[in-house]
Amino acid sequence: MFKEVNHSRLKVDGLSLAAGKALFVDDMDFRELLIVKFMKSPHAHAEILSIDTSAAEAFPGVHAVIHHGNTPRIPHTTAGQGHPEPSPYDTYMFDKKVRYVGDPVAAVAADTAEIALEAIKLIKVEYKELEAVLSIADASKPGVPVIHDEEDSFGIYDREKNLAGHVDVKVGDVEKALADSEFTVEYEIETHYSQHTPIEPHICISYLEEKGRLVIRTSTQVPFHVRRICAKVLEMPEKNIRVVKPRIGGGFGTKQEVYLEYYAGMITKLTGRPAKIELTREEEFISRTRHPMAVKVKLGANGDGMLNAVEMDVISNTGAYGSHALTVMFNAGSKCLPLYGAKNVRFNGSTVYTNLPVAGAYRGYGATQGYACLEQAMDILAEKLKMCPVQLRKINHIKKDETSPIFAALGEGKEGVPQFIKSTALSEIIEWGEEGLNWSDTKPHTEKTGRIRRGKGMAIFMQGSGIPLVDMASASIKINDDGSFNLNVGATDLGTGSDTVLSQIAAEALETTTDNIIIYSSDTDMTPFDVGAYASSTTYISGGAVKVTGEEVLKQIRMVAADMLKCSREEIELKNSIATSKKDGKTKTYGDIAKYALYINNQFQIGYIGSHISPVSPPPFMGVFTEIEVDTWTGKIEIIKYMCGVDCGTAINPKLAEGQVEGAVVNGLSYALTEGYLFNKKGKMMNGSFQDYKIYNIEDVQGLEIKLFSTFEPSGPFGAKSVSEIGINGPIPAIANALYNAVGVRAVRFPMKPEYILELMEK
Amino acid sequence: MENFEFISPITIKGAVSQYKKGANNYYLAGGTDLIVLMREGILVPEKIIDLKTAGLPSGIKKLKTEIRIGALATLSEIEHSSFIRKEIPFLAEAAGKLGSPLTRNRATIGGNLCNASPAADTATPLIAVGAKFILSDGKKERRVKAEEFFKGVKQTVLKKGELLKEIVIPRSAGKGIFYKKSRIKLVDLATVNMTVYREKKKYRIVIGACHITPLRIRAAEEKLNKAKKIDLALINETAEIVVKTIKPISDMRGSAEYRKQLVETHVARLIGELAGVEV
Ligand SMILES: Cc1cc2nc3c(=O)[nH]c(=O)nc-3n(C[C@H](O)[C@H](O)[C@H](O)COP(=O)(O)OP(=O)(O)OC[C@H]3O[C@@H](n4cnc5c(N)ncnc54)[C@H](O)[C@@H]3O)c2cc1C
Repeated sequence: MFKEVNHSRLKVDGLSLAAGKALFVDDMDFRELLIVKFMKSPHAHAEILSIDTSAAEAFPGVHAVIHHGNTPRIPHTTAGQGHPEPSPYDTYMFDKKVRYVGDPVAAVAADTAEIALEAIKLIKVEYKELEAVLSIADASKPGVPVIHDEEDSFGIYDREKNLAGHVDVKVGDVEKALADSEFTVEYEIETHYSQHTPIEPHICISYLEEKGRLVIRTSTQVPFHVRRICAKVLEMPEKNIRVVKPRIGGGFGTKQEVYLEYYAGMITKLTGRPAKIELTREEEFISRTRHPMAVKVKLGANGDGMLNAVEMDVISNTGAYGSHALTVMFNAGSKCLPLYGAKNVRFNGSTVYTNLPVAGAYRGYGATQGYACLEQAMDILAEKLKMCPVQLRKINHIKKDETSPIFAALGEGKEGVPQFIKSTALSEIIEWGEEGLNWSDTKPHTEKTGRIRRGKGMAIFMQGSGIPLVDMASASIKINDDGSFNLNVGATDLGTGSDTVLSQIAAEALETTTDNIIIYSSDTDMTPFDVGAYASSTTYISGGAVKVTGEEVLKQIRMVAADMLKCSREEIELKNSIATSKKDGKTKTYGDIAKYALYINNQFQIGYIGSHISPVSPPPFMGVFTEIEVDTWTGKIEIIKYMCGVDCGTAINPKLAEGQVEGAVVNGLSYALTEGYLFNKKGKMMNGSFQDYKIYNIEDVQGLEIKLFSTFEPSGPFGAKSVSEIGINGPIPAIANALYNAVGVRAVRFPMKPEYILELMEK
Repeated sequence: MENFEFISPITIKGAVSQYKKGANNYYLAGGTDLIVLMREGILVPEKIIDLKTAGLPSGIKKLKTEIRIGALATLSEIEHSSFIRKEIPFLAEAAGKLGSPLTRNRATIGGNLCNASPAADTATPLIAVGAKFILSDGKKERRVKAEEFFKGVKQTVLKKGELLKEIVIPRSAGKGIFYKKSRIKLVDLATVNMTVYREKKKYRIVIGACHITPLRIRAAEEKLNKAKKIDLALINETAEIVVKTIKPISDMRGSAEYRKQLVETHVARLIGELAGVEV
């Protein structure tokens, strides 16, 4: 039924990327470019008593040295969220205190990186070391050092207890419902640190354009938030800043953070010269990370398996600064709990500060951590009930036209909005997985013997599509002489393919073909506003903006065509870039119409700027069915089959949608099975390289089977929902459940490395 | 990276004499170890002497009674050589498990050996197959057995300026199996690696990444070689001897305990495979 969407059109930037023509941040040359390097804290928690930069400043080739003594002190958050951000304002360009190993103490701008690094060695800093908080368990103990004792930060829930955020939401009476339940489960896990590891690290270049305005070319997911936050921290008006995002090499959430651009901007402001900051891989590992969480789930059910009560307790570790502190923790509840229709629900969440690397937004955004526990607890409940875990999910999961009180109770750091499920294929997905994996043949672990034991596991999930009533996107479309269209969007393609998807939506709305759309995105001077790429919002929210804009432009085309073909607007049929009069069959091409409007009669520019917000955030759904092999001699887990069914509404570009799921699954497998941080006793990360922090690569991926299930989401553009994050939630709980089915042990710590599995089996 | 002097000698003699001119000079082959260390600032050489121009042998030569592999032969060459794959498949396998295709296109076998990492992937198959290394100091050449070449972590019998020229492998009808365990399948150093080799009912067992050098476990070999019949019990006893002999450390790639567990399991498996005993 669709002509342009729901087809796997070629990526609009595919050829230029493959040919090496597409320009990334670092692919442009600048004269007199300065390279900026950071001096980083060697201590996890310390006061800076004095800093002497005179020798560094005198070093030949050094052009500026900045630190807390010579830069403005503006409390802000680096979270890169909408205004006003729901994250505490607890961060400064530089502070008199350092709060994790790697916290910037000073930055040096020099002619070359080598000079900058040499000069850093000449900076003398006197520290007073303070006791450090290095675990979730220690963060709120009485008498622990206060990490944010500075006076001017704000938005911190309880600084004395190192609590960045807290929430306690109750619906119904969970305590009573648990007490009344015939069967109850209590299960607790702790998830681990991990990093997004985009292939292109954080990088930005700032320079002054001819009129003296500051231009920041940066690898970001949020160009408009970069402009706003830099304006604040650099104390200059937004009008004097332009932010441009060229092609970028991956983000996965870490490039929602705005914390490098203002250092570069500061150097350019001071020296008048272009300045570049590029993180090394080692620095990237301690830039922003995933919030580790201690998650506890309690479930109560009657003998028929219907859930009476669900309770989730979460303590999230935000590290030294509270970036996304409140919202990631909220999302552990808001993206997990509505999946099951219990009447009595409680979510109790806290986010603590520690002197460890800063956490931030990361694909999955709290849901990943919540599901790691919830979906294991569901399996434990099924076992207690002597019920098939698939059946338990079938009877409890949320269905079409149903709602959950959690939608209204939990939002983004505040209350949410009520909503009903209007599209879901979850039931079909479960049937598909059950059949595909021959679920009925599953035997309990007690019947398995031998060295290599197979196990099956499953789990189900939902996510969201944008932040309802918060995320806003806009698009502008104008026609050109030949009937092609410029589509300018604030939306940010970070390799995800959103430039392609948005072009397809425009083409569909404009009754033309995708190759007639010239897209330009993510430039605060040239494109209209968009919150940026996060919260699984781009296809849904930005796509909505493109659709309404296209429809308005189409009305104008219809009007001009009617004028040209001398008939009423209703008599005009628009199809494949041609207007046909139903009266006499005469036609005009979009090129004719554009030229007419631009040159001939009643001249005007056919064009429009449209915006979109959504009152709801329709969840995509996913079911994962996996079969693994556990080598009981070595503890190694091999994936035999990993079936992943996803309902993302209408897949605007099925190939790209599958690619998003595939990427998220591999990302999640790696997170579940190999990735992890090793810290020494003083809180320093010890494995900050790809030699010692292992991510999955193509050889490690096997048995993957991804299937998209089409539904039509009425609130989305041409029926679309989101797809980019949900896939990462699957591996931990699905594999952990399969592990139990294979060898009878439950993973409560991660990653599930062979050594850990052996340790569990020996217990 | 710090500045250094780059020298392209045209003879082995020239290379050695340049090397001897300072205390902090390094030979360069593929550079996949050297350059990494220089970038990290761990090595700060005065002079880099490029062996690629110095007339060292590269390539693989098939002679009547022996195979010769030049020190400059790349790991891809060894991995893909149909001759090596046929005659010493476990060496081809080991070469093919090192790093990534990119690494293997640059990395040389000489560099892998002279770098002398306890986890070097080509070490255990060469020791197991009884290879000898031809060393040259520019004037004289000498031969050492592969198993006597390694002296410690990053230490070999090479004297100052001496270099590894060629590897000599006797042609034989023996059969060997190489095994490498790493955290992910591509581009990772070994948590443990090993080769078990059998020729005329005599076994050689060599374990990597479990000691300061790759280690041949003679006591375990003895046990197998003396036995009239190899059965499961004997294999398990042999594996136990292996585990008692090795002294692995705990690091990012695995704990000492886990390494022992891996070695025990897999050495038994490899012996079983060669002896035709189900393990
Ligand atoms: C991404 C990556 C992955 C890797 N993975 C593995 C792996 O899985 N397994 C593994 O074993 N190694 C691995 N390595 C290490 C390295 O690639 C190998 O050890 C390689 O064989 C080294 O060879 P080269 O020619 O590059 O040595 P170079 O770096 O040129 O030299 C290494 C050292 O040996 C000396 N040297 C070189 N040739 C001679 C000679 N003929 N005579 C005397 N001295 C000499 C040099 O002076 C230097 O000290 C990896 C490296 C990288 C970068």
